[in-house]
Amino acid sequence: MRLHDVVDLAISDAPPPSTTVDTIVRKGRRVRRRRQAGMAGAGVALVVATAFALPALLPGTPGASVTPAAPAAPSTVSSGTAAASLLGDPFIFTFGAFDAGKWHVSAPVVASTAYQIASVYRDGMVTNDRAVDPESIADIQKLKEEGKYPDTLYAFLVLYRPGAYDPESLAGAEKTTVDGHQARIYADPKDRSTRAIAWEYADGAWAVVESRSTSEKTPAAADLRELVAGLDGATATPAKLPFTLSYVPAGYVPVEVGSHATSGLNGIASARDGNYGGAIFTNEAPATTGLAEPFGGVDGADLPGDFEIFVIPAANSNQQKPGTQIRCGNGFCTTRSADGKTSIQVASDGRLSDAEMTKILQGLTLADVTSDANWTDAVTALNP
Amino acid sequence: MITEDEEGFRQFVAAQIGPLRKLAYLTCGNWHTAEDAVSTALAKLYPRWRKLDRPDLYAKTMVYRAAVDETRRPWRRERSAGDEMPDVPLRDHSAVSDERLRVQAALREVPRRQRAALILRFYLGLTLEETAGVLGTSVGTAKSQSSRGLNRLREVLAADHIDLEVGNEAGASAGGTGEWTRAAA
Repeated sequence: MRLHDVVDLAISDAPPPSTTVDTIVRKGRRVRRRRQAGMAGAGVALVVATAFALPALLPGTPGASVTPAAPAAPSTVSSGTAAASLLGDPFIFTFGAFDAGKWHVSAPVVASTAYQIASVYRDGMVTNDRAVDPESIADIQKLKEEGKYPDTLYAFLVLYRPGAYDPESLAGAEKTTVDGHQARIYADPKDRSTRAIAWEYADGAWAVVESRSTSEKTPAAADLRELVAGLDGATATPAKLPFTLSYVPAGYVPVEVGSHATSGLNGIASARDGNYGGAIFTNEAPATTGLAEPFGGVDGADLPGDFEIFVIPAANSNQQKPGTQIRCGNGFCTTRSADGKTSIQVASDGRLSDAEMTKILQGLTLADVTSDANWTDAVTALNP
Repeated sequence: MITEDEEGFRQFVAAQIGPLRKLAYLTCGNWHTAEDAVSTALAKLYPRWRKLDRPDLYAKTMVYRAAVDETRRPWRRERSAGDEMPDVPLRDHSAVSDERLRVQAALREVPRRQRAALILRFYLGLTLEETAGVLGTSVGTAKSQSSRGLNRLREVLAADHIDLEVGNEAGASAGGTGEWTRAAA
């Protein structure tokens, strides 16, 4: 028997492939989008630079020395001890936007069973988390060619619940104390543009800022320290969603949501793209202790057995067929709001049948996406 | 990615997903894990598509690493009633199934790294240099790994009264898995 025959025979009982070309392209776009958020990308841009001519080139970008506007998420900051007020239940936001030196931290827009996540920006650096028009892309490209485009930054703050984060997972980090908190400062030895700081903001509860930039020098470790003192607690506010569900397949539970963003780090990577909300359900709830990173990791991998809901402006959707008819294919189902302005999608990469995903969409009630006053807290919205 | 590039990527995925799936499965022994490894590797390839001269080798490297990373357990412990290979091959009434289980068991007896070298070199038709690149080893190590893997497989099959014929299989291609250059895309 030839080797080819041996191998072919060994794999002759292979199940049909569950992954399609479309599925891979879709995942690839997601990976690219996240990397664009971290590295210099021409597709999206937001400028916080002071020493460059970019503000005039980017429509919608405020003028010089800009502090980026936070997404319209709960951000009512109150005084009080951080250790007490930062602690909260799943799907609750417990801090608001704050500034620390050149840093600007937005209000959190992602909440899960184990943590909250907020975008982090820095003066003089670009964060690519908002789409720009083609004309601006050309202008940005020109600046890049001239060497005038500033360094880019993709950074986020994850506030883990007590026990949720394992500080030892930051292998090789310097152990130190910052502002009275036990802390870890980390620089990736293989990629000096990747840095992180983790600090224990309350007993057993850690906050982590991860930063990826195109600069090997900025932000420096000392810069990251500035963030520690800036974090303070706010009035606990439930994460709110612009939709409610009347049907969820048996055995599935919500594990992560995005409010004014899609869920997870993908939501952070597109934080200022004007997305409305999202949620991830799974039938195999991920661990909520001893984590090293948010669910799905930096590459946004799917969670085992998960499905995801996206509620975004139709203009942001890559599904451009109009109408409220539910269309399914390639492991996801999509529909539009009655006014055609909002795209609503359930995606499971084939883990749920089209019939199940259709049933979820049929049971989804959309609120006024433009006004979060009438949105529903996540726990209520996702537990029919 | 511009439309032209994306179409090239799509063609690449359509052509390579089958061989990559086989490589992943034969490395890790689990179809679900293999599927995940291929899907993840190709998704990561997407943003790098324009930058690679040999995306086929990049994809094979990523798939191999992903398949290894996701299966720290010895292959023989992978078991389920689903898509995985049964741990203990059982004879059945079907001669084809019986023989399939025997060759599956034989492949499991080849250490994973040697098995991957064997598949890359003699089944997917990579050169020694390309095989070394995918495995992350020297050419000498790739050569010894593939050779030892082949010998081990031959021994195990012989014990089951199956003669492994190894002719000039090096360089042969399974299902159009040869070099994928930018021009080909």
